[in-house]
Amino acid sequence: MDAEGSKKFILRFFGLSAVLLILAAVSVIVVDPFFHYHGLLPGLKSVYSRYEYQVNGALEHLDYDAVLLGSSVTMNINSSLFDEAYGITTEKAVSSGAHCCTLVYYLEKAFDNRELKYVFWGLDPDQICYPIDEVADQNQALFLRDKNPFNDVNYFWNIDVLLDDMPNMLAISRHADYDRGRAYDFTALKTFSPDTALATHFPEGEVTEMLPIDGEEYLKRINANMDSVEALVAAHPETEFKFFFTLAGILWWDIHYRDGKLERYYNAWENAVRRLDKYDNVTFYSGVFNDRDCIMDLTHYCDYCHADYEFNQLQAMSVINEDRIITEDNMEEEIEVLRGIIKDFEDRLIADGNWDFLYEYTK
Amino acid sequence: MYFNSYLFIFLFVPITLLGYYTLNHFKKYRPALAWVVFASLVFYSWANLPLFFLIASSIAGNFICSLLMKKTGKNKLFGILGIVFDLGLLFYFKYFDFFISNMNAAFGLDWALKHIALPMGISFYTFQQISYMADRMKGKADHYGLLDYMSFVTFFPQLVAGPIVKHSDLVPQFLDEKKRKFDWVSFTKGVILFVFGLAKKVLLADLLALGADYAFNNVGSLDSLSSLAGILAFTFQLYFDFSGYCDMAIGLGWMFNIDLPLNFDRPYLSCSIKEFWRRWHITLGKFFTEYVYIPLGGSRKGKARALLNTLIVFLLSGIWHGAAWTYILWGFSQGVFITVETVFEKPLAKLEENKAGKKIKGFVTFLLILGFLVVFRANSLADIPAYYSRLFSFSANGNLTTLAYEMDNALLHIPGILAKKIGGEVLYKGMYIAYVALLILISMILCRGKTAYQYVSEGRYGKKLLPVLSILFFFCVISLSKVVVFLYSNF
Repeated sequence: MDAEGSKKFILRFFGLSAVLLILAAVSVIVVDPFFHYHGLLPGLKSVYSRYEYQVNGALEHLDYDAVLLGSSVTMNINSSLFDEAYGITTEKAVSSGAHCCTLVYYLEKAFDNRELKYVFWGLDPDQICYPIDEVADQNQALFLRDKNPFNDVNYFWNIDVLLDDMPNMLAISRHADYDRGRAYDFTALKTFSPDTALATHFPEGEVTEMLPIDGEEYLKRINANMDSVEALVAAHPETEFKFFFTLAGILWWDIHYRDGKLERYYNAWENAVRRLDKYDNVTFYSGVFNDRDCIMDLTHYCDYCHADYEFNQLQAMSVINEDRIITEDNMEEEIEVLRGIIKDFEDRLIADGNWDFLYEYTK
Repeated sequence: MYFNSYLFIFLFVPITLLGYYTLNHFKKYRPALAWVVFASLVFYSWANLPLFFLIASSIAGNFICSLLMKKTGKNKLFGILGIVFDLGLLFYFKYFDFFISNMNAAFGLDWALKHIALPMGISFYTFQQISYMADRMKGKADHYGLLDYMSFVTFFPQLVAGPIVKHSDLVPQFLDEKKRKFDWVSFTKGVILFVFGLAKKVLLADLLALGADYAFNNVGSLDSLSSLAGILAFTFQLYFDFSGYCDMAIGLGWMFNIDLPLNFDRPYLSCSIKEFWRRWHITLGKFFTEYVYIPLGGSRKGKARALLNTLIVFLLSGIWHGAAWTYILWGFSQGVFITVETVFEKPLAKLEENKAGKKIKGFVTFLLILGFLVVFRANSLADIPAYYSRLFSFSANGNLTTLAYEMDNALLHIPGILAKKIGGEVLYKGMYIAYVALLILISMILCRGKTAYQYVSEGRYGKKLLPVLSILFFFCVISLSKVVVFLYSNF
């Protein structure tokens, strides 16, 4: 091809490519499946599939007056239960393995954008034990969080957004029975059975001596985390904070029995209650965190930790029904129940030398 | 900065080209060259500023040695000094920790590791400068001015992962005034080849990588089919990744009206391992031939010495690829096989006399390449026999489905929902397995046909190519948000 032909060819190529890329960008900006630029357009529903990408935008642009905060053990709670019980609209702000600072970051964002009636907080003890200075919101795609508009190319020129999230949002918006309360729910993708749960559990090595609860680094972390939570609680007396202790399967407790973290986890919960229970706008619920049947029945677990849809809703219902409220006075007693369950389990494991007895708890 | 990034494609390349041709248009030739050198240094040290000091030191060391050769006439002394300096840098940044950990293991020592991150492209620009030093020693190269020398070392299309360019390939082109004018034909060819290269990398290599990574990171759980799919995926990933990079490099060169040497010539069609090395990473092969094999005596000192020299070259090639025993074993085994091929050259050549024999030889060679690449890709020496044992276990545990799911692609999500609705889990699984088979089949077909370089060089691009190229480019761009680094930039 000669110079003139080449010139025509390349200019047409640039033109055609530009048209395709502009069309793609415009369509993503209009539909906006990650709620990055605006709220929902008429006719569209908020379809949630990737918390790493959607929580930030949802907190900024969607309509809500309550949030459900937590890690993966809170993710599968149907927030519609809260909506129906309290006449509110709850937005999930969850992240797998969420650190306390991540959830505080979410909550600050929510308070910046909306007036909140309720905060439901699935408090797992890990959250409070993480270092405070670690990057908040570490699971979230940074290009959606930073203020650099050039980084948005990662959003509007993104094959997953264009060929998966966007069509998914458009298609699901047409279904009348879509339940937004099941946002980020991963239970449908998992198999729940004792075999699958046990297949993810590989206890290794010797049982470690319990880590001290007065360790300097531990206390520093726990105090820093609780300071940030307390600051938000104190700054928003108009908001009701409903904390609940999260449910984890016995195999998760077994891991932390072995790595020596158990006492720290109990202490983390006690610390949270001691720090926050004095506020009128705070209530702690035990959920089903120390319910023997819920902890031991591996039929309801897909791995060492995560329970199925049914057990997750028990956590929400315990809050709604206001049963087993935890206070400074009864918290040690409640934790003692859990301590007893774990001790029984470890004793039986030593006596039997295998996991088979766990099948006795299946229903 | 990587070629497969928004920053590079939409800002760096247009700005660099604009500056280069504008300065050349006003006959500011030296500033134009300085602009390209500056841009190349920005490209190299964009995400990691210390890299600038590393490449600057490397260039300064070699340039001073060359200057001292010119001033004192002691070519041998300063040439050797330059080469020792280059090898010293390479050893420190690439092999130091490997050396220490082996010393510790062999002699029960407790020397501390330095945990040095491998600087991008160091193997490439070091070898280019060694070739220059060697040519200076032999009187085959003049001393260049600093700017010309820097343009040879730093020219960004070839800086990170080759091709390994000789000074005589590049400097004269930069000095040629005819080449400084914008040329629509060269530019168009460059853009087309760049897009083809980008597509090879983003649309093929990166997808195949998912399967290969799964297989080599989960050797224990593989069955025969999944291990076969894993090694096939890696074989094509490696080719499309590296040849894609080289197409992009050559294409970028053409955008600047500069020709870079060819690095691949359909290597998987080779009928022997020897032929494979004439077609794969051609510039590395030429480097070793010219600067190691021939100085060692080549084939001039008898057959036995020639075989030994071949072994040495391939051992060095293995070491060049990375500081790990797997690479060394891979290089050595290639060398051994080539010596065997050399010894049985005549009977093997007879096989190629008829079509069927040639095809069989080609097929066997391809199988050997697959076998060698298991050694190359394995995460450890222990994984090599483990991988072979899974491959030849003649077992089926359904792991092919897991591998197929790992190679997930957004294009499959909507068909996947439909497949599940129509045929349930069975059709869904079948769709993913068919997708992997199709990806491998397409890879095979593309490896056998004309290369992108040949296609573009022949100037066979007409109106029909226009929509195809635009759609390819579009899909590449929307796939860039999952940036995966080039394999050879790690060597």
